[in-house]
Amino acid sequence: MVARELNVVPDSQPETRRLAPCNAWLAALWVLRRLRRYRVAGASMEPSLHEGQSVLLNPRAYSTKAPCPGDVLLLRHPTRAHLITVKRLAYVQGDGVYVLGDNAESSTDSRHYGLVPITHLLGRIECTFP
Amino acid sequence: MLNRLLTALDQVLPAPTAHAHCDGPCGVYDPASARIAAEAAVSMTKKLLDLEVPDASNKAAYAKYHNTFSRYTAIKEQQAHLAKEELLVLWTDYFKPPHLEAYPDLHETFWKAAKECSAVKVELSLEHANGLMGHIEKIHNIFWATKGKDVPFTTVS
Repeated sequence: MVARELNVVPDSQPETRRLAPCNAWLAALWVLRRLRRYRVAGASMEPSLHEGQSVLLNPRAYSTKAPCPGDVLLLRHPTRAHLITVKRLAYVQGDGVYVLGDNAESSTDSRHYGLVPITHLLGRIECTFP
Repeated sequence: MLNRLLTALDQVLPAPTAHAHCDGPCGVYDPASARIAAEAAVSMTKKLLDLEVPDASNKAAYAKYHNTFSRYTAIKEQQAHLAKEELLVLWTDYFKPPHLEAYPDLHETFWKAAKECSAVKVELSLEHANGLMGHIEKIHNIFWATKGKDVPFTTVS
């Protein structure tokens, strides 16, 4: 169950920290199918994520705790349900999340489509792979 | 060792795609598509204004006139609307906040251009048609300036 009734608005842009590389523990979780692998297409998350890079998704990351600004998320596009996108969480407001691409010049994100319903969240990116 | 194994697995096993691009993933934008549609609307406006009204007693000529007038009007309507759509896509998908900082009148320029598209549809006015081309030329210049390229504005007619 995703936490609701959140209102976490940071004073500044979220930290665009790089994702950690995969370690033995995360690889084991992937083998056990607790994490899922996705391949990134596009440059809107540069320099954190590159075209063709693989990442591991934790689909249960927000089952017990709320999303945190700075998290890299996998979420459904708000107007194109078939499109799965990767963005960074700027803030949570009510039942919506405001997400941005790290590469603002080449990103279509909440600056254009506004808050994304929190129900569109598919999980948190844990690490790059490998 | 683990890293090499995972790299090998990553290359072999397929993975679903997580998109990290803008809504126009091809990244191909060009105000030329709006310019071509607008030029067609301008051309139809001129042709409509140049049509000679035949003698009403000449039934065949009168029918031909109405047929031609209707066709030109339909094309003007269609092409002006297409120009509007092309402009709106360019406005909302290509241009980003940093562009607005560099060109503070960007929003007003697009808004006026879209309004002019509507005016070209509603009226039969060469003034509005030429006004639309003027706005598109301005957008063309801004667009190519953001690309760092000097592309002269050229029209077919």
